[in-house]
Amino acid sequence: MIDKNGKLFGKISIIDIALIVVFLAAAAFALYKFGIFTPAGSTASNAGKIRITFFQSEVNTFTAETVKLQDPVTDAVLNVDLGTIVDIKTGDSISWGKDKNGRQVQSSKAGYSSIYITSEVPGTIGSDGITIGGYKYYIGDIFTIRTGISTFYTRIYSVEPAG
Amino acid sequence: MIKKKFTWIDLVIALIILISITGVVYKFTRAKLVPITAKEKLLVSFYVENAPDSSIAAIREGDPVRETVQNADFGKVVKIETGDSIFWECGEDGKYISTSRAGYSSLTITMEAYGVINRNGVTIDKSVYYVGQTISLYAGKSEINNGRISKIVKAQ
Repeated sequence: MIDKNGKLFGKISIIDIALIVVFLAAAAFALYKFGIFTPAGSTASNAGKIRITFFQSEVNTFTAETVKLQDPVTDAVLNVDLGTIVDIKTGDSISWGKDKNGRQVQSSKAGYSSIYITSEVPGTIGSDGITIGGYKYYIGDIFTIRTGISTFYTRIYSVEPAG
Repeated sequence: MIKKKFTWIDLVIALIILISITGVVYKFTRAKLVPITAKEKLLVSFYVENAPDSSIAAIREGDPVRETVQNADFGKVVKIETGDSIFWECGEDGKYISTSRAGYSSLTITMEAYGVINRNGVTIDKSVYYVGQTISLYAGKSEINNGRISKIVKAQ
């Protein structure tokens, strides 16, 4: 297959193959960056709206009072757009301690609240997770979200189709 | 040695260069699209449940404030409020109770800083901050660690 000049079938050299591989990698990277073949691009057409609820059991009340309806929500690490807030519910903070017998006991801390934040975002709920903006999320995921000018360390509590 | 033929390998190299240039141009074009908004005078409050009294006592109104990680300019101190320090522990019944420690106080520092309140956070000196974010500050001669931004509003 490789002749005395080092060419495959007398036509393509190893350097040519290397160049083709580099070109294909560069092209694939460029297409990915422009969002042409990303999962977001391929799922956008069939993504309906979903409601995703985030929960934080203990947050400073001043933070809970800052967040507002219609604030945008983003994943602080991946910078994924997680929609806009459609519902906010706050309550007493939920803190777990251990009594003298080692049992878990729930109590509240003054100055703290618990909060449920629900946002509406284009996405799909599948049997293998929730796809939003080309990224997979799962109920129980714990991560930091940004909501308008406030930030929360939350867990995904529930997901359902919107409307 | 000048090549006389333009081979398909040359074409591949030219395409790679073109894609690279397009990528760089795209990146810079997007950066330019970020609106440049005039900075406004903001009141930024920072709260910490407990800090040593010696550190608090050294802070004066008018002291310059910087955030310790990004070295962002948080303006100057305009108000200092203190209260009993708050330390959380579990009692015998497992419920959280707060107690105070002598020599420590809770502290709220309000600073007058310049920045922009966006729909996605507050830009202060090229970094973006959020209410609830844990930060540490250099305030005058003191360092106050692990407090949280408790409020950000436009100054009247």
